Amino acid sequence: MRITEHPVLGKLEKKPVTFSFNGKKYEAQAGESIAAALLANDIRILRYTEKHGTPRGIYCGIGHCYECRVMVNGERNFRACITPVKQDMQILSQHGEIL
Amino acid sequence: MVVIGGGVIGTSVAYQLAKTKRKVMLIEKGEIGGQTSGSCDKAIFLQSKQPGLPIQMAKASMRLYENLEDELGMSIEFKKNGGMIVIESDTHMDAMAKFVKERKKAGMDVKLLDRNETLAWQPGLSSHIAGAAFSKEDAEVNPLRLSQAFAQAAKRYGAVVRTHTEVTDIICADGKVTGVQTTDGKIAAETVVNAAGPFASQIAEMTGIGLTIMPRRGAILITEKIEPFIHGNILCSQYIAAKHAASGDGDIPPYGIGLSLGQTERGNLLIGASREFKGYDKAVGPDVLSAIASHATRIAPALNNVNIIRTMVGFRPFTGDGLPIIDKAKAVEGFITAAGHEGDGIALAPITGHLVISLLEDEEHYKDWLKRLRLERMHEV
Amino acid sequence: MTYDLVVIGAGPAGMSAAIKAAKAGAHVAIIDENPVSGGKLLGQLYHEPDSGWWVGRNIAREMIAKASSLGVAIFRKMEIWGIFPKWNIMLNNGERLTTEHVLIATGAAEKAIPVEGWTKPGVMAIGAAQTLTNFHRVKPGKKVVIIGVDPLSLSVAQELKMAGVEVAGIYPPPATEVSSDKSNPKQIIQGLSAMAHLAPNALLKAAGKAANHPTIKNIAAKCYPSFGVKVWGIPLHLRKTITAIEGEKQVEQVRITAIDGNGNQKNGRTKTMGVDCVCISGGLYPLSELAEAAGCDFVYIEELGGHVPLHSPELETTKDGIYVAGNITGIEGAKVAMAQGELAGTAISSRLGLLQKGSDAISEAQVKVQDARANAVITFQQHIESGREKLAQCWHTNVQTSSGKG
Repeated sequence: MRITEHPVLGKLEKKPVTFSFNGKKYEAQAGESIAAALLANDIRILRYTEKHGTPRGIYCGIGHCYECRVMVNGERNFRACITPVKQDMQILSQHGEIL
Repeated sequence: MVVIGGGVIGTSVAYQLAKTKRKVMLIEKGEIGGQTSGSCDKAIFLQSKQPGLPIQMAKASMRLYENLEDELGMSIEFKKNGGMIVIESDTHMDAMAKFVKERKKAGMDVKLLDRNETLAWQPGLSSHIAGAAFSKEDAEVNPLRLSQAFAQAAKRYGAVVRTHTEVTDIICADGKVTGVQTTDGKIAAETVVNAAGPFASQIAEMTGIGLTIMPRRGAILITEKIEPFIHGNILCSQYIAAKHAASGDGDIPPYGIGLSLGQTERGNLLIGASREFKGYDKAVGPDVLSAIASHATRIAPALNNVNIIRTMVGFRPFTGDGLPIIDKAKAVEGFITAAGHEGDGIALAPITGHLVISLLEDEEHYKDWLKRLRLERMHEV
Repeated sequence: MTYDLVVIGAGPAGMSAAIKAAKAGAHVAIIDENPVSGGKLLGQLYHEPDSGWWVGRNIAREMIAKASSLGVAIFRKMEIWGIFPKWNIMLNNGERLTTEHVLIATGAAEKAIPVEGWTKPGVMAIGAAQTLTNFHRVKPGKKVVIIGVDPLSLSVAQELKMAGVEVAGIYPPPATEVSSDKSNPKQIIQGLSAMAHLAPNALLKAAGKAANHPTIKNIAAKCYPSFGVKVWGIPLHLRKTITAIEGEKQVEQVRITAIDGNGNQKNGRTKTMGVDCVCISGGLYPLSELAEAAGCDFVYIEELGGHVPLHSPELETTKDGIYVAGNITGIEGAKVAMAQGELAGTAISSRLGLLQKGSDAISEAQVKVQDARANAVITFQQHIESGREKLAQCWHTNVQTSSGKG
């Protein structure tokens, strides 16, 4: 899913980092958002809704809709679309639990 | 007939008027439920009311609530899911024991819970909580849906609902109401019901009647949606103090904060509320909001992890004696007041519609109650 | 901390204003919730008839460097939870910034089109797809359909294709009770007239140019082929719509239904197509919560994209010291936003006493905004000029009423 060659923007400069999502390890590019990193790994489901547990993914991409909230290193409510992924970051899907 | 004000009170009155085959127009300066009714919490507490008339009216209103969803034909998210007044310190326990006893005597189903019983019912609360008064009779409703449901049902009975229309004058001739002037033209009417809540004194002023209903500002915090966390609705025992104290009675928190806590159908928590007299200024400062938040986290420490996504600010119509005014004006024939419910508007909305009908028809049934809701009582103190 | 100016939003408008004011000598802070400054510039990529490729991320990079060299304090990944008179900006980390001048340049957000199944992972706003593709260099999907036919969606369709994404089609949204214009082929053809000069296809070009002629518009809508017309090799449909997005946990397929020349669905004629991503383009609206929280007066102007804070020709709102620039004033392109940012930066510098006496910098900046508007390559809103006129009229009336009161 990564765009390594682009007719106008050229070749993608790679700076790989590794992170985990729901316990599994993945590779990302340094500086990109969590949502982009997961999508590059073919992962679209970021969280489950509080009431009915239905899956949600990135929607607005600008931090406005809050649909992409994930837990990062034990802390809730990071918006995957505007939070950069970092080396060894531990990311979990949220279900609305707060404890 | 014209009803001024599209909140829970005005829509309830318009509904009853239309249902009893009167020709009604409801006039609202903004949206239905857009002011006080759209910026309050959703709890219908019985146990927090004073014994005597307040409890009697609240109970009568609750009986009307039981069938209201079916009657109005729309979900109003009414649930009889119990209410709890949490007691933070042992020093409040004695006062609350008395509080519970009084209410039991008034025929209410209230019991005093100790710490363990309280935490068993509300595991999210802090372990420093000393206990709670609990009543399974307490309930909740979505006030926005309630006012919309009343308005829709009124329309089905032929009422006309005009939103975004402001009443600019009340026209009188020979001591009688003949109509209202609005931003959208003149409307002839022999009866005008002033259900403008915190703005009721401004409306009354148009007829020359002095009405001492003051806007009491309240701010409520709204959190993100979370899994079920609060069961039923919660008040803090300080709320009782904040609500019934006129001014500085010792143990009063800053900004008149008495905590109220509830969780909506969708999962958001509503955390209230401050009580301040600041005219019609809606600009609540950061210190008030922070104070509400810190009180809430003291009662329920897990809230430290929860984001506040919005706040809402509204004005509660304050009369000073904890009772609304439901009365005909003596000086101006046809001018009726149904306002001043302060924090009890949601609880008393259904009964208020019936009381206005009773008043219009000079019925015997509610005569004793209406006597105590007279306008003149404000001038007799 | 105290600043001469606090700018909220590090997009094209906010950055330009910060640079302008800092150049004049003001002590400026910019606050933005994103990790990288630039706002919507970061995802922009389109070809300009005269000057070649507009690569938004490069423009953003230059502006960040410029602002930093001028000593602008840039707060990244920072949210504002409140704005209180006069003026205290409350940050999420507990900090409070104090200033007499605030520029709210929060941009715009996208309106949703709630097609059945639109909450499934794999459905995203067209702007999200744009940022993923051009900034993050990740494909939003392997095979994508777009719902919503407008200048932005056509532009992003081309960008997706350029990045190697299969764009299986662009469709109007299904008509609903509340909105039918975006589903009506005649209205869409009218809307496309806004980009007639860069329409990539002869039929569209002709249709766009003739769109104001009612007969031709009707014929164009009626005769529009049911298999669509290809733009940059992408099928653009006006006689079919997506009625449902399906998939067990995430997007697996879309349901396609034929519609007539007025956007009404024809009974029974539906088929499905396998895709893994659906992009929704419902149009943009000004993001104005902060201006609302600050107590600014608002006006509703359809042509500008909805509710906008009422503002003066110098971009000051009805609240003393609160300015607005960029898409919060109406939906327009980045170049207009940048020109507005410069205007706000100039006006605030003047208020701070940093401009030379008798300087006509403000009126020059106002002319630049008009020029940018007149030369815009893509217009997002039809009749933007008449929207601006309405706003000016509202401001004029407001000034008269409030001075009458005083």
